[in-house]
Amino acid sequence: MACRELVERVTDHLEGALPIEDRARLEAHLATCPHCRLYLEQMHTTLRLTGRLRDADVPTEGREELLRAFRRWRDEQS
Amino acid sequence: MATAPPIDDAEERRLLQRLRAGDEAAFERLVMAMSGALLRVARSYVPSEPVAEEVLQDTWLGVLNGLDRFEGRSSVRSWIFSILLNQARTRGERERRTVPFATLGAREAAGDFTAVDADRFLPADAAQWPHHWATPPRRWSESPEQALEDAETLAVVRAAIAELPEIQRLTITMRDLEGWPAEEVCDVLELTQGNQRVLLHRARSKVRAALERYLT
Repeated sequence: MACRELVERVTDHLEGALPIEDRARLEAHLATCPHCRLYLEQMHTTLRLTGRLRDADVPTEGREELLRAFRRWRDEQS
Repeated sequence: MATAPPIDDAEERRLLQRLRAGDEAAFERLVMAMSGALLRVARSYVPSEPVAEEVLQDTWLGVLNGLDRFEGRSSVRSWIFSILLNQARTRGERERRTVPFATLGAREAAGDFTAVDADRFLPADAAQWPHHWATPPRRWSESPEQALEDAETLAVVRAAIAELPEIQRLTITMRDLEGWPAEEVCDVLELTQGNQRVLLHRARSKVRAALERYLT
């Protein structure tokens, strides 16, 4: 496998979706190519940083309003 | 306010039953556990925070009003997300014409794509090492912990995601931000497994490239 192919197959690799022979080619390439190992490491970093965007909470105001709406809905049901 | 712990499938089914019986605590649990994720997606469609919160409110009202019609063919959170996406897409300014997800997804997965600019690799006719790195990636920082975790770097990631085409943006948001399994993303966005992977690949590669531009 060449580097140019690796950067296009890295997601399939991380998703466990590579056919077994392609996975072997990819892993053999990684074993000998420090640049592609760095590329893969940067992909992992990218995933970790994306996960860190998960931060926001529900504003309390909106929550009270929703609970009032829920009570109205419940009263209409009965 | 702390982020509520996520809800697993078994709890989801119990909550749904209690919700149908009019249990307010069950509603509050769902709202607390899911609103953060819903709001993040809503924000990517509408121009302002107040409008995003309106979309969120309308989504929960839609959930209550649709409880009788929900048949349980998908997970509860997939169903709730579908309601949100409907609301957000109708309200959003970007997508006035509401093209079906399946169509958009196929469109965004088609055509040429390179994760890394072609000129960073040696040409096919190179005497040695064709298609290997000519300009390899460089380390992003001397002290990664410091530079990588700061607010400006996260802002670069956020901006890169915001610029993605709609379905790529939703795919990477649900997968890598919210941590959903691939199957559920396929379910909500009407994608095949293969297209989901292609869209995820394009989205992740573009975010990596944005980080590379910023950090090297």
